[in-house]
Amino acid sequence: MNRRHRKTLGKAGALLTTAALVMTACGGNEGDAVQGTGDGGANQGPLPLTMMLPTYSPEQMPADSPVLKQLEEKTNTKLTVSWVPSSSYTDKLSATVASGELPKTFVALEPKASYIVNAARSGMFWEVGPHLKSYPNLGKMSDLVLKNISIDGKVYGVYRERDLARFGLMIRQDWLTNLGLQPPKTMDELYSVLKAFATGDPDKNGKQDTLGLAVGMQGSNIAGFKDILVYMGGANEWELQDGKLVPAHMTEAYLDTMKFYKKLYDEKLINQDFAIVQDGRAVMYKGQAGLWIDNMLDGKNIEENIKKVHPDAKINLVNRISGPKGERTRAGSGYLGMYMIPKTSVKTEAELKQILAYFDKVSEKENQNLMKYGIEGRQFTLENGTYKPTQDPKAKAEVTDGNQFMILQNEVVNYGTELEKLSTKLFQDNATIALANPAAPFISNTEIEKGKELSKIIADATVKFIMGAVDEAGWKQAVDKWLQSGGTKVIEEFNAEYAKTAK
Amino acid sequence: MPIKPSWGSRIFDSLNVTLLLAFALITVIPFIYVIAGSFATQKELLQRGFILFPTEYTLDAYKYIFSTPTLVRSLLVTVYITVVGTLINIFFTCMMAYPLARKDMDFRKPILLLVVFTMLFGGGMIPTFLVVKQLGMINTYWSLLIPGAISAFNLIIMRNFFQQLPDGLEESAKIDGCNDLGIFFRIVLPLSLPAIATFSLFYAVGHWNTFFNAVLYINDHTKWPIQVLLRQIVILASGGVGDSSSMEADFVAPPEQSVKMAVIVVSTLPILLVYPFLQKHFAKGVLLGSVKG
Repeated sequence: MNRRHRKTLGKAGALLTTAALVMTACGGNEGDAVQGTGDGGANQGPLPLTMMLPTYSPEQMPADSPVLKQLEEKTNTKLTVSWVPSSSYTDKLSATVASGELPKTFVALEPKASYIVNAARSGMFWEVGPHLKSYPNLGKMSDLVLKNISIDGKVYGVYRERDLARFGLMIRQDWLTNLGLQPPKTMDELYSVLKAFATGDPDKNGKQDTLGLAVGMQGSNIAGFKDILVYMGGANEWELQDGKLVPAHMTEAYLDTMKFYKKLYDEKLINQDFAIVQDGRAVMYKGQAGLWIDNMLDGKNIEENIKKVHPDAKINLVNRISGPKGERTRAGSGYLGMYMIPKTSVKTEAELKQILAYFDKVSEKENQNLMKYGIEGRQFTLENGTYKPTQDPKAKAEVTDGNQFMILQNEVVNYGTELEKLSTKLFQDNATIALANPAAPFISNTEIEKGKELSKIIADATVKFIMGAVDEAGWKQAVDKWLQSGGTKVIEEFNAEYAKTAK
Repeated sequence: MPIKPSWGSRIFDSLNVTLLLAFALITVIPFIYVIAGSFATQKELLQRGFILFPTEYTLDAYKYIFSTPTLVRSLLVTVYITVVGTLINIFFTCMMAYPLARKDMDFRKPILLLVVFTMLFGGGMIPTFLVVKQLGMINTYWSLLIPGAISAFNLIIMRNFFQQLPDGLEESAKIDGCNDLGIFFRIVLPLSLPAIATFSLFYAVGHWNTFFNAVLYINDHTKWPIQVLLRQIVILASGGVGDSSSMEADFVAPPEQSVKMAVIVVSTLPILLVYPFLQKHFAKGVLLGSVKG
């Protein structure tokens, strides 16, 4: 029996080897063929440019969209876009990066994700940093943001500009008016407004059925927490203390912010079920709460939704709240992903320069507006300066996700509603008081590896503290657990990187 | 004379009935909620939150999702993948299972061993992606049909089913002058219809739910199956839009709740409708073949 067994195994082995041989043989040929056709013909006619972009809409821009055609004409390119649903973008990109089957350019939504960093370190992407200055538009890119996207101090892509600081308060103006209150300017006023919203019957229905602040878990973050932390004088993720980077949750202000939230929770000024609410905006939509803190662009959407239930609702935006350290607000990253150019699909420096020239042209004023609004007369009309978007779904689809093509956004004309115009104004105002994250340009390998589980320790403990399930001692334990599970290493690694640049 | 049931058994029965009813409700209520939500107005959804019977019926959500050809296109893609894919699955599974069930087949054991091996160890996402890429199937429907053409688990059950068909049938067919292919197509397959129907449903549901492979292998958005679109519509609404430490997505207005529900209904209903037609075969049992006579 033993002998027979060995015989079968032998046969199986032989089969496996044959199969493997056949497969590798085929693979080699196929790869060569693809590479052979990939080169050549780069300098004749419009530049063929394949790209992979995330889409945030159910409908995608059709390949024959007139908007896309016009962009091609103006930039002298032939674009082939492959749209990937934003929700699965990371998976698709990591598989594509690993296989080497990359288009000529693609958007990396998270330039600091491990697979991007590793691929960049192994020399898979063109370093574009030194080239940028020779282009009129790309040369205008912000040094701060370029520093934020850099990997080991090198710039491997063209970032897509977004306003640096977009966070603020979206507050029910009709409630403020009903109560005879002014929009809050300080933390104390903010608290008393919240108190009045919850107890003063701002919707005048005779029932005590309103809340101050709407809170939900946006991902694993408590909505508004990071913003209030900054208002209260805390850090934006990391803080410089005596030349050392310290994570926000190890500062005194973090504890104060938790206590502030706990007070709101205990006095029932926030929704008591916040820990299980996936999207806190839903509380706002119902007209139950008076305040929401997040990206102020959302104000228009929130107002439209509340109006379906309470037609009189009006949203106002507030951006300057002063705390112990004065007026300040949280700076975001200043970009939404970046375009990277892989060396596997773009072989020569000449072609790299052509692609950079395309990015430069996309950033011209007329192209910025083209990708934002579409073609006048088709996607929108201007009557005496008032902007009217088309209602035709087909024409609408032709400009869907157009902003995914945009690099710089500094010359976009604002045709929006009052609220949208206000938000643009406040974004600019925010930029002057924005507090940047000093650790943003640095990479910690431990953070890349374990960041998610680490931040979960802190997020869980914060929620528990606010709900009163743990006290200060319990919170300290959670911080210790964070340190032991890798936090100490994260701090060390960030500080080592920081020390290198501080020299 | 019927035996009068004892008190104990009566209590047991009523307990059983209530438990099963409760269980049935738990499974059915989410469906009713989604269907009701798809017909409700946005105002009512926001105000009442949980609705089983809307006070005001509207077809707005359905009008909206059918206002562009996207959804219909994706549905057609999915129907195509499901029909062609299931045919491929059944054909290859039967063609491989039958020889493996025949005792006079050479190398039966080692081949079966290789099959079982794939059940325990898989290559993972990236190696599979590389194979699909090297075979030139990226961005074609083949990438969704070929790599999973045979499910090892279904293959083994199918083989067991074939194995329990009496040898005498084949022998007598042979005596009557039938060759091997004839035996397979004219004797074995007709006798296996219940098993084939059952596995068709398994495979079909699998194809209907194709999501991840499509995201990985299909680059052209006009070839997206319905689940990719469904997820895209549903996920857009679920928060996480404004804030994330490493990235900051552009703000996207989430689609209305009723639209999401209408899309779920449209994408689930067709496959639900297939079930009753195959249900009678289920009565004969998937695992019929595994019972050794």
